Amino acid sequence: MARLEIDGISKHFGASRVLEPLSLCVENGEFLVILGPSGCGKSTLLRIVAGLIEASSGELRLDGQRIDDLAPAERDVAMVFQNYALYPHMSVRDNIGFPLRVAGVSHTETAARVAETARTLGLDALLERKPAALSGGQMQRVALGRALIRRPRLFLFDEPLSNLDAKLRDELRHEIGALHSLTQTTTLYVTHDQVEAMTLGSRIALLEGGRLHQVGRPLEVFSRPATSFVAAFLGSPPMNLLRGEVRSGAFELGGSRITGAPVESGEVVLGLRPHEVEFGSSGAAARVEGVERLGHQTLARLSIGAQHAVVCREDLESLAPGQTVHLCFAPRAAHWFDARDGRRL
Amino acid sequence: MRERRLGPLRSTCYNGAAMLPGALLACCASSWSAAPQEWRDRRLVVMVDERSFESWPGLVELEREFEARYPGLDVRLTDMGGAVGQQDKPRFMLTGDLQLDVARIDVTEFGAFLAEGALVDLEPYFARDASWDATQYLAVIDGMRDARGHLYGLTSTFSPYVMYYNRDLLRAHGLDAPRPDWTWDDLLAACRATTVDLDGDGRIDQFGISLTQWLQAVTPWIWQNGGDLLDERGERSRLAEPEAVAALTFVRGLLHEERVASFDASFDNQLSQGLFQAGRAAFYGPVGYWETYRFKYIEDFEWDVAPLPRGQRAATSLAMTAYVVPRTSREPELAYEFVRALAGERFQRLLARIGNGVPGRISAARSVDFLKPDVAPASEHVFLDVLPQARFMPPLANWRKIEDLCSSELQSILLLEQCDVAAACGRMAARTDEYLARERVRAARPRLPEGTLALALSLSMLGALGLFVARRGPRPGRIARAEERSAYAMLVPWALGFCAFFFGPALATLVVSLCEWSPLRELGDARWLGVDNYARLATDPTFQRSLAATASYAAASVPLGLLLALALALLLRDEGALATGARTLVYVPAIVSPVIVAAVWRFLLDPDRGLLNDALFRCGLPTPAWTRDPDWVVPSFVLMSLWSVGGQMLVFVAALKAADRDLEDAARIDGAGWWRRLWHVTLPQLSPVILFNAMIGLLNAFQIFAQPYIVTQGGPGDASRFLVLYLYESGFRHLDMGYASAIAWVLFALLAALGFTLWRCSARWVHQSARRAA
Repeated sequence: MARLEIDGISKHFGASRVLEPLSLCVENGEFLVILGPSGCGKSTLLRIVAGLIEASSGELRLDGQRIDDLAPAERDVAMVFQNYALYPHMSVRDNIGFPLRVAGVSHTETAARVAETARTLGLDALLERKPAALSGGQMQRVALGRALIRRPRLFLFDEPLSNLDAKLRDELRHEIGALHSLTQTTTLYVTHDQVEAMTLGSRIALLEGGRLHQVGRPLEVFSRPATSFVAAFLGSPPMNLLRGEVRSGAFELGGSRITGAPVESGEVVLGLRPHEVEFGSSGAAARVEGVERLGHQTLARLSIGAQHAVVCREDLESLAPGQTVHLCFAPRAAHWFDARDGRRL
Repeated sequence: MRERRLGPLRSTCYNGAAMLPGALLACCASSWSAAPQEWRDRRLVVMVDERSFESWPGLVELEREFEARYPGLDVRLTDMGGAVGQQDKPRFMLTGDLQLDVARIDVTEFGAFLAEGALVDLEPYFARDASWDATQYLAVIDGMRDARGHLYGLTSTFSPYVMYYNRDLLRAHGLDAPRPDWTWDDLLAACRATTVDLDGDGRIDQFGISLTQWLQAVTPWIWQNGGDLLDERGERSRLAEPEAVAALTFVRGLLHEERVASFDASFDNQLSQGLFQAGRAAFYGPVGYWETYRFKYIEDFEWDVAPLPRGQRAATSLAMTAYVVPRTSREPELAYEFVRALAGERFQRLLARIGNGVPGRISAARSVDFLKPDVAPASEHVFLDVLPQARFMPPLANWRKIEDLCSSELQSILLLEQCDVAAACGRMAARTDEYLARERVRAARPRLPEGTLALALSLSMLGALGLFVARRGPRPGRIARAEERSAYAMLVPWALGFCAFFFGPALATLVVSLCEWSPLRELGDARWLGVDNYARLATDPTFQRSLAATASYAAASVPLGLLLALALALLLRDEGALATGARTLVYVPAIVSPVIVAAVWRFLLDPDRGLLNDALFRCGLPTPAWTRDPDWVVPSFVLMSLWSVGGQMLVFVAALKAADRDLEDAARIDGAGWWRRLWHVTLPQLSPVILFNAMIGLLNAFQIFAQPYIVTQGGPGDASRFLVLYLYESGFRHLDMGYASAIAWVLFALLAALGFTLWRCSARWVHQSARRAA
């Protein structure tokens, strides 16, 4: 277990800036998920921490000791890759035991620790197989085993579940959570999947365009997104972001005036989660463009003037395309963002 | 002695002859009359190797005169090629039945061409030619007669072997020029007196003699000592007899015991600056007139020629080239006329003036054009004076083979530091006798019944087709059958090409490998031998040495090539101008023709003047004799092969770029250092490519040809007679295509077995799953 400090780390390749100066702290035993869309720089950040890429500026400290000038092997970190990165010519046993072998650990101890790790991950019966003879889930378990066996101070996960199907992803996600509970090793986990972020992370750090948007506990980030990007990225279906004008403290939308805007005037973005919108007899008028019945709930796709919104509820069975509905919501369901920079108001 | 027989001549030769008026033939040599027929769209192909010399304008003049004489006729002068293998080109044209109307051949080729019926008998033409007079030519012309006395060609130039000497160097050591009757003892004494370490560095810089070492140059010593190469019937070697052994012991003694002779005068070294030209050898020889062409540029000292020193008797060998009309001539009448012109007064005098050789025509040979009183050598008459003692090599059909059989042992006698001359001569004699006996047996074998080859090919094709049909799975459904028909329809053009140009010829060589057949004869003329050719391989020491040389070359060049290519790929895998530029530089030799590579390395590896030895000498390191040393010649070719690893390097670079970098990253995080990452991560990922490169490298190594063909021609001895070179020599030099085909099939089987073994072993170290897992 260790405390990781990322202090002003940035990265650029020539004129292309991949990471803006970024500071972040992963506490002892914490499971921090870095969440963001493809190309946002999250894997770059992880590789910088691992020592595979050199940062353009900033410092990394692990338990107060600077590690950014150390070789990857000297940082005492273990990493699980998206494509498993298993050595194809080695058996499962050799793959798991490889870090100990290169560290010069005795054969006896290596064998014992491989057996223990394999037992923990349910790989006992697969130890003599080559990676090509394993399923995706099994391969990722082996990759986990190779990371676990070193008992590192810091775990790094680079989208480890991306290559798996939905069912396996769920299973392995659960296993990773359980393993973390068991080992309590400080973990930095990169993903673009909000479900993994919400379920696994002690905290979530949201990254977009190389810039850190918000760091916080999952529910906190979900319920109080710091920016419109965070609001739109988290949640499924994503939050409706409706752009409009505030005049005299009231937000004009679909012919109605909505009060509660935190500014007196100006252009703002109103964020509404699809689950928190109801239909009533008054309120902003919207036209139903489409209805998607998912079984336990129904999605209604609406147009409000030139803008679009989605409402997701269980009681919309009678709704039909072409209908006009009126939107209403509780004041606490409204999230207000600055239309210019997306910051929460 | 002469076992000559007339081969079948094409009837076209005579058809054309009958059509041409005798009057035309009667005056063709002196003044050509107008052609009474239409010459449009007719062609006369002339291949003589005068192109390299000043005689080219003379040839062009003849060409123009012919074309003016016969309006519409296209006279094409073609080149015979370079110094290496120039005798091969006419053979290829004859083999391919390509039109070749006039060719210049070496007299040592005459026996083979005559035996295969490859030349047109000129006697009928002489008979109709009133201007023909054989007495206008020196007696050397008899070298182109068959057993009946029929002439098949007219002498271009000839040269007896003589001794060149540096008059100034002899004078500086108080010695006189050699007398006409000087002896071996005189030579030895003069050599001892003139061999000197000039700069006192322990190495001899000035030699008594720069000693030529090919068979024709060495044979005079044997003749002078009362020995001979073969008996009078040409059926038994006399090389094991004491006279021959003593003669070769004397020659070897000059090199190794007396150490008064240098090694630099092998035939290939003639292309480079020789010791004699540099003024560092008192004598040079035995060698022919052609050297005067090179030596005319010598200005630093006075030189001349003398008869060879005599042993028990005076003797020398005789080289000669002659103009012939090959069997594949489409215009034999015109060809005869052109041959007469080439051997005529004007062109012969031109050849004499420029120093191509001694002209065969008496008037030219005795003219000032040849004798050149004001130009060195002063004693040009020596080349005519020694003619009574001069002899040709035995005019046997298979002389080339016998020459090659002897040459390897001869080189061993002359070049190796330790050699039992009597034993080596015994081996030469035994091999020659064995070969001659086998040839007599083979000649007695019956010819294949007509159509046998076609039948065998047809049956093989049908067999292959039957096998294909028999191995087909269950009858497919209607839609599948329709698709199958379309597929076959599209495959037919390729399949036809495959059968016509690969499978068919391959099968043909299989049949030929069971026969005795010269490529100069029709395929139907093959004689059935069964598995004799294969059995002969098992006991052929040249083949065994060839196989050993090839295997050792492959064993060294393939792994070393892989290692070097891999190392370069790892070094130059990155992007960036420097790495890209370096990759380009490394790759360039791989796309250069092997002939060029060989030519460059020939000079780099020259033991005396090569850059490599020069650098080694400057560093105080030993300087191997490289291609001249049997122990170093294979390493020399390995070194040469390493120069061309650019192709393999590129394949490795491509594989490295496609490799999964996450694996290497994972290993770095796991704590693996550079070596462990290379061994445990990079190499396993590259293993399929290593297998590919190893397989291709193995195939290439076993098929090495151009380099030894250019650099060593298989020598010294058989040390670099690699399999394909031996195959080529057997097929096109010895005209034994059956044996060459047997070698080809053994080579194929060997490569298939090696490839299969490598592939089977690869299961242990090649990780085909590398990409799939990633």
